[in-house]
Amino acid sequence: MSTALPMAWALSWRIADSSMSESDKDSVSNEYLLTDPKDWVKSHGDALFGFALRYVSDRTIAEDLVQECLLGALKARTSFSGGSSERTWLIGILKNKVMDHFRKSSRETPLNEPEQLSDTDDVDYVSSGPDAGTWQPNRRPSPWSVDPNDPVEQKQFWEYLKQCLEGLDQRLAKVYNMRDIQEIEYDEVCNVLAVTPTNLRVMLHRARKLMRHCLETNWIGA
Amino acid sequence: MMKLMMRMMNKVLPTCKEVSHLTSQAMDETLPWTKRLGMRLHLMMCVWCRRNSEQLQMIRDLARNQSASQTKEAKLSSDARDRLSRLLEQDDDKS
Repeated sequence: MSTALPMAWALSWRIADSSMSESDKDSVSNEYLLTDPKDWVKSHGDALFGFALRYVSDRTIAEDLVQECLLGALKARTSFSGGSSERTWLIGILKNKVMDHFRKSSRETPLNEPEQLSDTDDVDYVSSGPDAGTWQPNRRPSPWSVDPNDPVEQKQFWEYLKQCLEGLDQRLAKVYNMRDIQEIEYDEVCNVLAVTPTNLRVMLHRARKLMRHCLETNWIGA
Repeated sequence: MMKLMMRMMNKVLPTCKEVSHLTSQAMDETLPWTKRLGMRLHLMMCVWCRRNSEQLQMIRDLARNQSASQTKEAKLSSDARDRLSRLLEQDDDKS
C-alpha cells in the first residue's frame, strides 16, 4: 500500500505533464525558431534535392519540387510549431509536394491495373502435372560468382541495373526504383503512388523476378 | 533423385512458385510464422529457390548501397541554386 500511492501519484503527474506540453506545442507558433528563408537554399537545398531525387529520378522535376517546397514553406512559416527541426519540417512539406506530383501523374497513367497484373509467372514454373509449381529447367536460377564487396563489380552492377530497369514496364520500374533502390518504406510507396498493398506486392514480385533474370543474363552472363 | 524429392516436397510444403512470392513478400514485411516456416523448410531443401532468394537480397543490397552513395553526392546545380535564392528573396519582400 505504502509504495502504491506514490507510484500512482507519479504516474498521474507524468500524464498531466505530457498532456500539457502537447497542447502547448499545438497552440504556439514558433516562427522565430526558423532561420532566415534567404539561407534555406544554402543550408537545406542539397538535402531537399537529394530527398526529391529519391522519388523522382528526373533532376528537373526534383528541382521543381524543391522550389514548390521552399515557396510553400515560406507561406506556411507562421504555422511552424517548433516541434521538429527546420530540416524535418521542410522535408515534411517536400513530401507533400512529392505526393501531389504523383497524384497528378497517376491521373494520367494509373498504376492500379490489377487485370494486367494477373498471374504471368507461368514462364518460370511448370504449370501442370506432378512437377507443377517447380522451376522450368531453363529458368532455374544459376549460381552467381560475384563478389558484392568488389568496387569494380559494384560499378558494373549499377550500369546493368539501370539498363535492366529501362527494359522494365514503366509502372514496374517505378515501384521497383522506389522500394528496392531508393529504400522508401512499403506503406509510403503505397501512399505516394496510391496503390493497394496487395497490388504493390504483386508488382514488386514481378519486377524483382524480371530484374533478377535480366541481371543474370546480362551482368552475370556477360 | 532431386526431382523425386522436389515432388514430395511440393506436396507438403509451398511450391517453388509460392516460395518465390513469399521470398519477395518477406523482403517487405514479416510473414506469419506458418508461412515463414514453410518457406524456410523449402529453402533448406531447394537449391534453386535458395539461390533465387539470396540473389534477390544481394541485388537489393547492392542497389541500395549504390544509390545511397549517389544521393549523398546529389547537389543542386548552381543555376537552380541562384534561381531558388532569388525566388525566396522576392517572395520574402512581398510578404
